[in-house]
Amino acid sequence: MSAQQERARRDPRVVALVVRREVTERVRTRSFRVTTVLIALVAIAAVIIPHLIDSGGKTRYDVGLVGDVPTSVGPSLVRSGQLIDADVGVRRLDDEASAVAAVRSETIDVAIVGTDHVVVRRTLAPTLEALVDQAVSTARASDSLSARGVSPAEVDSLLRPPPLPVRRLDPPSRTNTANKSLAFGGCLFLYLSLLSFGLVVANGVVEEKSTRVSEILLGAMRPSQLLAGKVIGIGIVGSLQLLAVGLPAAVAALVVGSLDVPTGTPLTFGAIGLWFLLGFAFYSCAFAAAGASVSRAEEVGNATMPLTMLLLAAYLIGVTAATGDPDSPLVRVASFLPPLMPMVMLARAAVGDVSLWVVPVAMVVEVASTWLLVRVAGRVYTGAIVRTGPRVKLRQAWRSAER
Amino acid sequence: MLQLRNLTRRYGQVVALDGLTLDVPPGQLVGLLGPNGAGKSTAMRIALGLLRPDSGEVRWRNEPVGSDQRRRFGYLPEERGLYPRMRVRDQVVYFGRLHGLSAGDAAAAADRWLERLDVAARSADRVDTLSLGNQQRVQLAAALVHDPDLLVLDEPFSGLDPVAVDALSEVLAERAAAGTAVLFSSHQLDLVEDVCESVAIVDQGRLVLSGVVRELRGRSRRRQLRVLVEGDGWRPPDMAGVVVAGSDASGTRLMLEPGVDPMAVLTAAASGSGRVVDFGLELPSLSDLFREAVNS
Repeated sequence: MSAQQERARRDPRVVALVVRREVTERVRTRSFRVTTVLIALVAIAAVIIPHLIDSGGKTRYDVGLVGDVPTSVGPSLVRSGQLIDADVGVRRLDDEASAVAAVRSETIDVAIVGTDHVVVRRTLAPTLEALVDQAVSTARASDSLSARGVSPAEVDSLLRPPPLPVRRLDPPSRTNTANKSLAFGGCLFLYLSLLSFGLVVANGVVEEKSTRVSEILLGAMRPSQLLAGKVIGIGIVGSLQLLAVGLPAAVAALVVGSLDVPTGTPLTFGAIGLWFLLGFAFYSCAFAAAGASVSRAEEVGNATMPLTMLLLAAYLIGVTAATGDPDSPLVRVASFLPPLMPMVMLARAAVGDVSLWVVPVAMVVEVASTWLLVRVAGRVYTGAIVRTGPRVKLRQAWRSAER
Repeated sequence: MLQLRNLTRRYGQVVALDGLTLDVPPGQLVGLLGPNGAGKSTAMRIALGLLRPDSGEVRWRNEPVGSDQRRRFGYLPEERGLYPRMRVRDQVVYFGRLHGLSAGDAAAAADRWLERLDVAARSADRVDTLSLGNQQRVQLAAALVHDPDLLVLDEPFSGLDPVAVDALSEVLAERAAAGTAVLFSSHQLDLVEDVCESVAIVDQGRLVLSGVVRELRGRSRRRQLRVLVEGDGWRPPDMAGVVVAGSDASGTRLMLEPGVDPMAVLTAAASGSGRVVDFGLELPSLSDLFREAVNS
């Protein structure tokens, strides 16, 4: 082959043309715009609604104080309330009659009358009862100690001794709730996005094959160029869609203040992005090869079934790692299998105990196996794309592409 | 010139091509004809490099075909060959660019061909909103946009009405006259009788007949001279290579062996008793030639 022909074969312009067509044609469709707006709205709602529900969800107790209640009771109630995640509101009332009226109208839950008795409508909630008992008995003890000439500082150290030292049986886990839910969300996001973009790739390939457009395209370029253009184009569209959905959701989160960023979280966010790219490269090639094996859109589901099953398995094991035991043998093994790695390693690294070297090594393994898969899938794609009719078997496609 | 040499191709147990050899010279319109399943599409797809033959080779201008040459080919696949949801003009421009045209050249060529093929008014519409006939025109524009050296069309006439057949043949003849090598296939032999100068007729993967249509007919054993004579006592001329095939109200049919001059037979027929009131030379149709070749 002449140098000129060799140049034409490697002409990156055809790949760029395919990429451009994929992006402009997909972004132009009404369905793309409508779904993007819808998903963005759902994402914003998913950020805002829990926040709205959450702020009303905290338990609140209103306590009225009448007469000769020790001054320390009010602050003590508020402090103890915070420990059990309850809001306690305290107000002074003039006399028992107004306390009774307030209890009856349910403006307050309980009224403490002196150190003598409390007034409730029917029953006193057990938690509130404990709070009140503790506050009142601490105040009584404090008063009686003061009456016997004990200094306020001594009273304080007697009634509030320093916490007991803790002896740990195991070192503390780095796990925190935020990383757990982030790992879970990351797995869900990777599962849904890899599945949907994978299917977009497979359907795009089948569309070209069933309309015989592929036969015209392959007169002008090699199958690997067509495959590369398609995958990169759909990858760009996918990333654009994710940005279009993710940015408004992040802004909404900042506005309502629910984006509480603990340490380690930005790293997890970065990892989700990186695993998305690696997972997309891996799965899109596999989905393209699966799509090339069939000739009609109705057959895409069957042809891609093994891949959707793999994705589901990766998701389930990833969720197990995120919410259950991130260091179980199953998770350890799965986190090094390339098809399962994006989700399982993400969850394992975010939640579990992994050495620093594990994640970079896993990413190298994923890149290497993707490189291998591109070759295998590219050849299957080449062998299958021009064979119309019944579904092409993997072996037929492989042999058909021998050069 | 496109040369297909001894092409063989099997699909499992089925032999699609069995040593097919065929030439398509520049400036010629060659019809690749034969019944369904004869191997026409397989031959075309091998010529375009979409399929590899089990043996044999494809040469273009005396060289093996590489991707560089392939970009100078135009192809119209059987049925569709277009993105259904892409706009007409965008689509033709896209194919032009893939075949190496600059953005400006591709746009100009797309406009020119859409105009020439009478679909310019639908340039901005999606392909799937067009009638099948118009889709076929767009498809043709996509195959022609880069002004290919070789044009390969798989069943371009199927499903077209007679007016569309004429319009398409006109465009193809025009391309051939401009120096393009044109190869098209059809299973409706008689439909394309007047379209192609030369034919290659295939059956079960083998070439059964090929050559210039006019010469093939001249060589056929199925040429018949029909003579209607007024008056009694007329006898068919007793000449070598002339056999009476039958007689009916339209006249007597004389079967002429290859090489027999129909004019000499007519003169002899007219020199007997009676007056020749009607006559005609009936040439075999391409289907007749096909049957003759397969049966022989």
